[in-house]
Amino acid sequence: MDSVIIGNLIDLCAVLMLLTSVMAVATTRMRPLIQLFSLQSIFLALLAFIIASSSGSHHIYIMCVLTVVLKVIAMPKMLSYIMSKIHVDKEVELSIGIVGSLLLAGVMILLSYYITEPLIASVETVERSCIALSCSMLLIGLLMMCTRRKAITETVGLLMMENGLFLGALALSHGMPLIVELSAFFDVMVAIIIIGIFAYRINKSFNSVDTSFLRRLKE
Amino acid sequence: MGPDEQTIVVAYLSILLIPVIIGIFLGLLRDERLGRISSALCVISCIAGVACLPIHLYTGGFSATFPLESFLGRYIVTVDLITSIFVSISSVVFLMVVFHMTHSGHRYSNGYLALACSLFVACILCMMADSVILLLVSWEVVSLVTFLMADNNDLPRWRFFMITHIGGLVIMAVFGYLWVFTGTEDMGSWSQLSLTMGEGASSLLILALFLGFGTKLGTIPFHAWMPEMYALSPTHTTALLTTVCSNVAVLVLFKSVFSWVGTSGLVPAVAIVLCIVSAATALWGAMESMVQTGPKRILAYSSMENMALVTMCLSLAMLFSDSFPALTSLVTVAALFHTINHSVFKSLMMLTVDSIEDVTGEGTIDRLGGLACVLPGLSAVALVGAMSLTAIPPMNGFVSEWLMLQALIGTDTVSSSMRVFMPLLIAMMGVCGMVVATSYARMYGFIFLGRPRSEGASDPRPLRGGSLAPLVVLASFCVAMGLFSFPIMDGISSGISDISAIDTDYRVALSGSLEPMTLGLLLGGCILLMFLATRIFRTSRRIDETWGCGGTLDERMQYSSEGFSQPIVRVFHPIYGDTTEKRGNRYVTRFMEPFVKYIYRPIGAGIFALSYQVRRMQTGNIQSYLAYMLITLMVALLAVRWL
Amino acid sequence: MTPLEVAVELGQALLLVLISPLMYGLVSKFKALMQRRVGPSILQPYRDLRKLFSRNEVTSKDCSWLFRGIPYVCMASMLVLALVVPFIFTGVLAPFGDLVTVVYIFTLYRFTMVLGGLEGGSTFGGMGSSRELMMSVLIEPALLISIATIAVMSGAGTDMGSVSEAIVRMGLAAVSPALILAAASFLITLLAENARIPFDNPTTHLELTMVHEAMILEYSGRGLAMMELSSMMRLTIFMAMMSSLFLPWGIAYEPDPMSLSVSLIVTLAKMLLMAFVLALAESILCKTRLFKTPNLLTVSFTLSLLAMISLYIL
Repeated sequence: MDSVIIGNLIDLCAVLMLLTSVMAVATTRMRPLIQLFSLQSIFLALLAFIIASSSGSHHIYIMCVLTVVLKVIAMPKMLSYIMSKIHVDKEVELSIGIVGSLLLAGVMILLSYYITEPLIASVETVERSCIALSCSMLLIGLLMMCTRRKAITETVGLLMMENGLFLGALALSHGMPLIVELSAFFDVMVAIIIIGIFAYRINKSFNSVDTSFLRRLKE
Repeated sequence: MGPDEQTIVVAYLSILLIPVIIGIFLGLLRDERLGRISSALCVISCIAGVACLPIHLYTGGFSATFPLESFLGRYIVTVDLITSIFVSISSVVFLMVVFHMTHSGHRYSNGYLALACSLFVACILCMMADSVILLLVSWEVVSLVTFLMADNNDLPRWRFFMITHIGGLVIMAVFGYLWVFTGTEDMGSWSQLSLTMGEGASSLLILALFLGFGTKLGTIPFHAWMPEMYALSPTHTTALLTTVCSNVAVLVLFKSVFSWVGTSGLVPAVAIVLCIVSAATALWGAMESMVQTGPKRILAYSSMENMALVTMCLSLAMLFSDSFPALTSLVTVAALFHTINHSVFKSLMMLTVDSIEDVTGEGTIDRLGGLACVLPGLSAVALVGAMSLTAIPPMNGFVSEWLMLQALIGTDTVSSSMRVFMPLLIAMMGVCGMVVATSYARMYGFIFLGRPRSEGASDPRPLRGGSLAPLVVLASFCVAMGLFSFPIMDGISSGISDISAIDTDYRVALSGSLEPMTLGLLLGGCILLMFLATRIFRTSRRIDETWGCGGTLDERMQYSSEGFSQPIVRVFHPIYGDTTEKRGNRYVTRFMEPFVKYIYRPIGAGIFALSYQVRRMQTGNIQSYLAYMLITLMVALLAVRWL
Repeated sequence: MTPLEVAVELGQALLLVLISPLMYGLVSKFKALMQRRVGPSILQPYRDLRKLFSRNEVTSKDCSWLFRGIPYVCMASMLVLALVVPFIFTGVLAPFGDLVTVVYIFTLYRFTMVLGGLEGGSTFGGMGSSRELMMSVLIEPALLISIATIAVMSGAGTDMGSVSEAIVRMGLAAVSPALILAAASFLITLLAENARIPFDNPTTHLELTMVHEAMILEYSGRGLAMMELSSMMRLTIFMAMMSSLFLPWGIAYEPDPMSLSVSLIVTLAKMLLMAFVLALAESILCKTRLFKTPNLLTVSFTLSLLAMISLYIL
């Protein structure tokens, strides 16, 4: 395939990933949020596939398969399971409102472009342009974790941050060494399980998964 | 310059200045007939001022030294192309304001007319000034005269006095420094001083210049005087203050930054900060103007917005000046063209507001309405003004905003870290543009359309004879400056290249093209076409009640101005910080200026606290005062010994 | 500019005017079919317009001279746009097909319509005007940034004809994230500007929810016909801009009969597709509450910002 078109496709996947992050900021319901996360993971897998096939690094295929299995299927299923267990769907309160968080997300995109600009100039890979996108996904994930109050949405924020990190790794050096990637996957998996259990326990104790209740624990 | 031309220049300057100076003295006398003569003399000088551009074109630029000298140096005036354009437009505006003033219902005292005459002299001299002392004196006179013309004894006037004098002091400091630095008071020999000055000093000077002139242009946080001062002063003062004085401030700011100090080696951070502050001012001005109910306050905040767009362009020009000459030229032309446009349409609106107050006796838009039916002429010229302010093609306001947007889109070609600003600034322009449109649709709609909301509005007095004529002239200027904008902008561009280092054709940086004249004709042609096309159907027209869901409507069932702006206020609630409270059977929304709340109030409170501390020293006991003197004397003696 | 080009220009403008009621008819027909109704004929808007044009007018006694002029100004601004927007042929009247000018002509249209809402002194008019302006405050930045993106991306300035020609010449390489994001943002602004469903319901006459209809409540007969026709033209012009700027492949940039006829077919197919997409969107979405619309409009703004930034980054 033409390298311009490959470049465009990679860019497109990366931008669509960022777009799902932005959409996630604007979503107040949990089920669409989880769907957005799995959509984002699909784009990540696609991007990995394109990079793998164009650069010929075979270990990226493994990462691609793992992404599909874990992030597109397993984790969303698990999150939905937890959700149905504790009967929450609606996230009503955002601490700064949809408009505010969207504007902040825009600011973060600009900021990460501004920050990563010299870095982009120094890296050689075709996918270098994704660095800025990965940085903004990281920031937006963190923003989501700041503004949301329910445990599950915070988890989704974390996962999206993690997706951003993977994108960055792919862009910078065609992925981390396989062993690091594998351990990262399992770390996240374990984290999800723990958070899931936590959410369940929090719900049991407080009848809500609002993490702001955790402040009460200090007494 | 040959002897003939020298004679022309001397004759011209005499016609320009002598009648109006005589006018000042006549105005100081009490006889009413002399007042009339004084305003006639002012009109003569204004007409001479309008002739500045032709005289400049004939002589090709002139300079003159006044035959009187002070110990601080000579008084020199120089007229270059850009100055002559500004002088001519300002004189047109001044002429119209004076004409309207004399034909309005206000019975201004002779003193007021004298002040108007001296404002004219000061403004003209300040624009033409080419020596430090003349510039500083005339600038100071402009501030003082507008202060005196405010004609009220309230706090806002003193606030204006304070803030503009702080600005004046900063300007004095800057020009004093430059004088010492160059060793000459003749500013004609100052040129691009930053080349020899070092970047730190020149950046600081430019910052100080923007600060000094920004106090007059209402840059945040120095805008605190603006709304009240505009609302409480006589409208003609406000009209002159917002148009002619702004012209003076922008022109002198432009000349000092780009011609005298120069922008080479400027620290980019300064330009970026100024740009951000200006953008914030524009946004704030537009949004505040939309919630005001007094027409003069609406116009005050909108002036703030317009002038902020101008300073934004100037700071962008400084940012680009090192490496993007065509863009620099484009934004400077946009800034200066917008300034003169603003003076035309803003004076038109101000005078309209004055006429409306005169015929209805009402001062808020909530008590007006339906005037378009009884005053069709006034409503038509006001519509032209409102459309220019809203930047609707083919009016002049549209062309200057079009230039600004072209410049922002052209910013794409500049270095990558700067262009991050571009989408933000474009978004700012978009929001500002529509908020201003809301503001003027609201103002125009509530004054002229709908049903009258008060007795004054339902049965207005007829317009005073001759008060419509200046409005018509200004409105036709609005249209003409839109249709013939490119020749004017070419003039501005070559004026800029005459006195500054910006010498590239601004058209190079345009990424699109515009032909306002043909666009106007096309719009007019299409209206005519539709008019003719609909004549095919033979229909008749019947007049009836407005549909009111079966009942009859009265004037209180119309939308209120507060309700009209409420959706936007609600969307931007975090910015407005408005509070709603119940008062009797109605809800009232209050807007508190955050700048007053968080900056001015604490400073005021701090000063009061300090004064309370100082008051303790003043016990009223004569012995303690003597003790202070004793201590001071001892300290002074010791100081003499030690130093 | 050759006489042939001028003829093509005028022809495409006429076509744009003539098909705009058809687009309205098509959208409502598609919607009806999706809801398993038969629906009105696609020619119904033409019949409505003809009826309105020949009706006698009733105007309110509170309306001024301005009120009678407003429909003409609205129509004229849309006619000017029909002349300058590239539809089947890009060689527009170059100095007027400027994107920024186009946005400002839309402002002219909106401003006059809003003033019309304030005539007559009825509550609904004021309400509609106020709401329309609120939405436009949020639409305008998104619209400006998305067109700036497309102008910068094409590298051909802000002249619409050159923009669409440049994008066609770029071929597949033009299908970049910037184009897609800007198109998505433009689509949302299209819905909002034309008072379509998530923002306003074009078929409603329920007082408390209407925006656009509230502003034109006082018009009747010829005036109403012109207001309706101009709002139909506004939709069609937005769709034409969508097709010739964001999806320009197939548009003719030389006035030879072959490419013009290809372009005619392709463009009409694109318009048909867009009518279908519009109907689909209106069938699956519901009208949101007025104060929820800023959320969607901010999404559009963020999309356009993203488009611009992706243009820089990528």
